[in-house]
Amino acid sequence: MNLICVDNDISMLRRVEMICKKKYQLDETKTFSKVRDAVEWMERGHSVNIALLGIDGNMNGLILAQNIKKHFPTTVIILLSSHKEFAVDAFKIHASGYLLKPVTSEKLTEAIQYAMQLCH
Amino acid sequence: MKIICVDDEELLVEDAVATCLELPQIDEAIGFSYPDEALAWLGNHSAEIALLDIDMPSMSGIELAAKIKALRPEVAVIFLTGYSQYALDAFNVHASGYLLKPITKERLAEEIAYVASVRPIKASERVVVRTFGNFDVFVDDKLVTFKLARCKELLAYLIDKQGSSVTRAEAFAALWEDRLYDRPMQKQFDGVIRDMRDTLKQYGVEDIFELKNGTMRIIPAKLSCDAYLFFQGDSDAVNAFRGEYMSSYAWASITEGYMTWKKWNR
Repeated sequence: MNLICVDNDISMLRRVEMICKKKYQLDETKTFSKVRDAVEWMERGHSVNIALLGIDGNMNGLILAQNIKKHFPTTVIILLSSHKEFAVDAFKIHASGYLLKPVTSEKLTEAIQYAMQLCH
Repeated sequence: MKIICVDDEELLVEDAVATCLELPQIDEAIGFSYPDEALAWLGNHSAEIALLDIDMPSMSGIELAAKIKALRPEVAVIFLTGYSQYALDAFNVHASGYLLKPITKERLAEEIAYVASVRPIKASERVVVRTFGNFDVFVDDKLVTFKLARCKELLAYLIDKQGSSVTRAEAFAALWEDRLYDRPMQKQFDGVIRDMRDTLKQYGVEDIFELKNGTMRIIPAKLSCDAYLFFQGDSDAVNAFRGEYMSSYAWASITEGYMTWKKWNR
């Protein structure tokens, strides 16, 4: 099972890596601070089962989410944002979760666990 | 699929039910104006989807969704609301959709199609066993045909045992009544077991059957069976039972008698 996290918030990327490494046996956890790098990685043929995507600032996470869903309809998407007003849009792209920053480690762990359940 | 609609405004419930029934994926739509009624109904029925209003006086739709998920985690919740501010709460109760009113039939159809497409098909939904009247097994809606009548009867017998282990001798005694379980018959019976297993394998559902240390059983969680629903108190199943259970098998009359008694002494 592959998980990616794309966010311009480096500490978020580190935390996701930590949680995935410590608690779960994922085949691969990839983190990207730039949307472009994530897209390139996927274009090289990597599949994504779970995607945690930041949508603040210039992240364009919503568009990335839509693209991922188009190529991999079964990918479980969790959005990360400091604002709650994108939550309705998040439902439109069929995201499975929406975490409001700052996110506690419990919430983050819970969300990843839930996403893994959905993947099975 | 079965869907329930909950909205405190009766007209809107009727409207939602009517819209749902126009969609090809929906077989049944049941409306409720009170959240408590919906919860009571879910106590002994299930549905694939719950369409919920959020702003309701007696209980908010978010709270209702949390209760529904606790009671029946398999139900996908779609909110129908006039407000956008509950969307984050909706994620917290693991809702599948959030539609802003007024909704069109197209938007609703899209959401329902999405829910249907991601719904995992459980093994228990692939194998459907019918015991009321005659005994039949369906895999992916196709009737299973067995090599020998005895193979089918053996499976029926194991299903009647509801997952308890049965020895070869016990099963033999039930199926052949007064025949002696001697060497030739043991051989013949082994053939019946093998053929039954082969048939299940052919349909890709051999994992409902377990043969271990000379005893065999079926695994109830891997199939859905009207009689099992009956024993769980599912009111649809209780109503559907008309006093006939696996009619072609003599040994089934014990369970049949018990079910008849249970139905009238509820």
